[in-house]
Amino acid sequence: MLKKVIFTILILGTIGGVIGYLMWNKPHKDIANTKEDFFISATDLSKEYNADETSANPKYLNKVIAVSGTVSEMQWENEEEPTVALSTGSEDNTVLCGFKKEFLNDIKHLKAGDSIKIKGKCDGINMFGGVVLTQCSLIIE
Amino acid sequence: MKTKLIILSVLLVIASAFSYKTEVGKYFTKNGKVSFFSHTDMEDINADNNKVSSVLDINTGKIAIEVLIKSFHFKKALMEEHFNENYMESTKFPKAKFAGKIDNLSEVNFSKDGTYKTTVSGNLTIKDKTNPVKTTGTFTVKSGKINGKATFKVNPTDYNITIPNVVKDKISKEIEISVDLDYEPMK
Repeated sequence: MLKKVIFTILILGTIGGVIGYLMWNKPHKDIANTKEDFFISATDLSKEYNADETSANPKYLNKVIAVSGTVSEMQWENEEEPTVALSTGSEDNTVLCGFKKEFLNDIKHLKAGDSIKIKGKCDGINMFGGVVLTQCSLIIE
Repeated sequence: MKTKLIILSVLLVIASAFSYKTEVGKYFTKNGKVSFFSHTDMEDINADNNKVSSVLDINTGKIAIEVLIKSFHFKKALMEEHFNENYMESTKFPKAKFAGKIDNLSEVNFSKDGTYKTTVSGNLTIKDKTNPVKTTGTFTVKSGKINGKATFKVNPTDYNITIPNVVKDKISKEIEISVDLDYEPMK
C-alpha cells in the first residue's frame, strides 16, 4: 500500500514538474501566425484612438491588429526595435510598428510611400497621439 | 515709405527669430529605451521597452516621459504575462509617467557638444501611485542631438505592486530602472 502511495506521489510530482518546466519556458505568442482580432487602416485606428483613448483601450489593448497603411518613415535609430511609422492623415502623429531585431531584414527594403500591411499587438497610444504596436510582422500577400 | 518697409522687415525678422527660438527649445523621442532589472540569488529578471516617448525642453529643463507598460518585452513569456496581469495590471494602468526637471540646468550647455552630469527630480507615477524621485543623469550633446541616461532604484511596494509570498525570494526589494533616451529637435 505504501509503495503504491509513494509511486503515485512520484508520478504526480514528475508530471507537475514537467508542466511547470514547460510553462516556465513557454514560448511567446506567435503573433505573426495568429489570426488578427481586427483589420483596420492606420488612419482609422489613429482617428479612433485620438478621439477617445478610454474607449479605444478596452477595445484594442493587447489585441492582435492587422493594420494597412502607407509608410511615413522608417526608424532605425533604436536598433533594439526597428520601427515602421505609418501615416495617419494627421501631421502630428503616426502609427508606430515595432519589429524585433531578428526581422530587420524583412523590413530593410521598405521606404516612405510604400503601401503595406503589418500585424502586431496593440500596446496603447503614446504622448504624441501615436498608436503603438509591437511584436510586429510584415503581412506578405 | 522706405522707412516703413525697413521697420516692418526688421520687426518680421525679430518675430521670426523668437518663434525659431521656441521651436529650437523642444526635443523629443518616440523610440526611447527603459529597462528594468531585478537581481536575487534565486533569479535575475529583466525587461526592455523600446517605445518610450519623451519631451525635453532645454529652455526650462522640463522633462516628460511616458512608458506604455505593454511594450516591455521579457525573454520569458510567462514572466511577461505575470508582469502585465498580476503585478502591473497593465490593462487597468496602461502607462507609467515621469514629470520633472533638470535641477542644475545652468550647468548644462545644450548648444555645446559635451557630456553633462545632472540631477533630475520629479514625480513618477506607476499604476495609481505617484512618488517623488530624484536621480543623477547624464546628458550628452552631439551634433544637434541630445542623449539622456539615468539609472535609479524603485521599491515596488511604493507603487502598490504586491509581490505574492510564493515569489518573494525571486524578486528584488529594489528594482533597478535604466533610462536611455535619444532626443532630436522638434520641427
